[in-house]
Amino acid sequence: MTLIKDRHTLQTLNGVKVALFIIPALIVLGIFWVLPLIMGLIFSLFHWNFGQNPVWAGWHEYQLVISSSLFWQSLLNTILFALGVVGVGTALAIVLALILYQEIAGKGLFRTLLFIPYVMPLVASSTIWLWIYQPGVGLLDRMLQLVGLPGSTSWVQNTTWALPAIILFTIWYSLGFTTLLFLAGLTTVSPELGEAALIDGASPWMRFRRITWPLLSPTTLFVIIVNTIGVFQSFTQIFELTRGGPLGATTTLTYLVYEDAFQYFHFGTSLATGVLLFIVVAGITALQFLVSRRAINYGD
Amino acid sequence: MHTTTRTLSGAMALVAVGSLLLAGCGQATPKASAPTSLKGPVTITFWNEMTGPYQPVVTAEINAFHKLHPNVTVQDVVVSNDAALRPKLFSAIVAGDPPTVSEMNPPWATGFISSHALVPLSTFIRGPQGLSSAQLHDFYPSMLNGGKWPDGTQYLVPFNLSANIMFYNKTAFQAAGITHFPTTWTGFYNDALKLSTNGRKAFAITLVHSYPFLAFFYEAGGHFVGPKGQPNAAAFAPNGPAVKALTLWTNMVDHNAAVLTSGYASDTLFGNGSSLILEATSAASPYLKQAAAGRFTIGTAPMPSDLTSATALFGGYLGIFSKATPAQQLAAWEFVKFLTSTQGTVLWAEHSQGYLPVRKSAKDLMTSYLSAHPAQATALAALSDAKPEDKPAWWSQFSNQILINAIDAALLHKMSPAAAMHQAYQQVIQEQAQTGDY
Repeated sequence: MTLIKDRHTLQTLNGVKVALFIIPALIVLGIFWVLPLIMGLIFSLFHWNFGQNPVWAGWHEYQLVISSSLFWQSLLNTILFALGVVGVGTALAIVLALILYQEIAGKGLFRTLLFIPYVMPLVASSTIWLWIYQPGVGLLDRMLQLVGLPGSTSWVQNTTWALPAIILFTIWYSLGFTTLLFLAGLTTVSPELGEAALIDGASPWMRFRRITWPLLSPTTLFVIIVNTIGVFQSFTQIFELTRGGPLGATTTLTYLVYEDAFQYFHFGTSLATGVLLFIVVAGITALQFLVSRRAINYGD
Repeated sequence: MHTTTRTLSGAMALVAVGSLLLAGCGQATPKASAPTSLKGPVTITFWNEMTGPYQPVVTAEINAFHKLHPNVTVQDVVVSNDAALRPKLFSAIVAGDPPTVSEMNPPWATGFISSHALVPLSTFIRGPQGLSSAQLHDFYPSMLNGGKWPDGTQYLVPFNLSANIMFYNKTAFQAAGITHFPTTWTGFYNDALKLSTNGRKAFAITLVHSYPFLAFFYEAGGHFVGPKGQPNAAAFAPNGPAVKALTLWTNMVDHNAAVLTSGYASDTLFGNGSSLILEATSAASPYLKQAAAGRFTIGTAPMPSDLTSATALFGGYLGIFSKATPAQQLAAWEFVKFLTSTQGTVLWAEHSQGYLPVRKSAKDLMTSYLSAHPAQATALAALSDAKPEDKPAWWSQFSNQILINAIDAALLHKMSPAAAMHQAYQQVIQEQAQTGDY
């Protein structure tokens, strides 16, 4: 009986300890996430501009947002931006990681060089790229001129090239970090598997396709999720390079939320856009996890 | 779920301060009965965006003020730029903790005024520690008017302003046989064409800001804001000033006499000789000198005129917040008076090497300085024709988005100038319906 009582007391004490550890985190989470989330949902139903009292508007702010061509353009831009950065960036990072995983001379230097953009302040590197993109005299146009191509493109000043220019910058910026993740992932792939396949006569491509790639799938999922988060949070390079222009060609949903709220003080529509962004991102995240359950090889 | 939570948390954080705004909306209009003299020690906070080379000048101003008012302590809070200062001010107002005094642009202040966050400075101006009629008339009228609202209340006073002028590559002009900067649009267009050779485009147009366009628009006799604060339909008309100014720019782009750039990259293009004419405020002068690095002589000239001579006036004003105690407000007013006094404004204009003095009397004290700094001298000479920034509630979205899009649409050949301005008018009417005027 005493033993049971002691065990019960111990469990209670453990419960208190656990609660003491969890409660501070819960308070922070509640104040800085749950409360703003709830308030955001509530205030997205109000018409509210700075200097005016919020007025109940029901779904009106959502109707305003959905009927705005800029919202749909921003949604499309966000999707294209995500596909470009995550798709191309991930593929490039895998290739680079495979190269840098080999015993090649100066690989330490290459790894360092590749990672430098990621540790540079984004504002500074964006400004440098603004110069690189200058029509006629920027580094990009100069390089094109060297190979005989017409080198006078307004890269960030026209609606065709502005978004690809932002995507290219973002890939350049994040490539080092993504490659590093894949390099870490490659260390978990047992070399014996590749050696066995080599003895069986598998080509390098077959070894990658059948062994390395499946075993890298957890890393790939992680990279895709992290990069998707990064893309949806992207702001600085858009602000510095294009301010969402020209003609909204580089306005993403996040930038639209910022611009609507902090440039024009339209909090109702900004919050409605934020909630819609939430739904989009929640959908994408759910899809990613669904795919991960079916397609990811955890080596079990 | 991390993706979801992180992304939304930014937007939701906005709302966290929202509830506080509800309380803020209920702030009482500041009372006029402020103390008439400073007795005990008072600490005030001064928010501004004077980073880099400007920060030591602000520090020097504060130190000079401290000597005159040893019982007042000014705490200098420097924010990186106006894009950061604006939301910071907004958040502080909403949270009920604004600074005592801050630099701000007039269009922001319209929102602050409607939520009763700003003190009407007219109360102080007319008060015992106020300004005499002579002192008030010593301000450049175009600058002072920028801080005055349609009801006649002075909410802001000018501090760091500059006017748009033309910078040009004098060496290239002389090489092309052009002895003077053109004084008319026709001359400007023709000279730009003449200078645009070998793939070089003479005039650099930046697509990020609307203010370079506004100067041309004013020269065509335009006013975007009607007498009651509403959008002025005539300004957008097919034969109106906006279309006229935009047509000039479109023709220049079409005939390879103008290059489209973004942000401060236009300074770089001018500095390395890729473009030869740059419209900018006098505040750009030190940066352009640095970019040119002595490779060519920089000339300055007033804007070429069309129907009228005009230019656009831009920059920061000073406003005092109503949340401050009466003693702090009075101390802040003394600080504002000092910064905008002849002594304060000369110190600022000479050491910032680009901004303009806000008082006419300062010009006499700056004779030798101005002779060595032609950009400021040119801008000062243009002040009588300068138009301050408009400030109805719809102006921010109009000037930063609607007008920019219209300019972009025409310059990128998505629409004709007339169609672009017609669309802009439709959009600004909608914006006005949503946000109101003042």
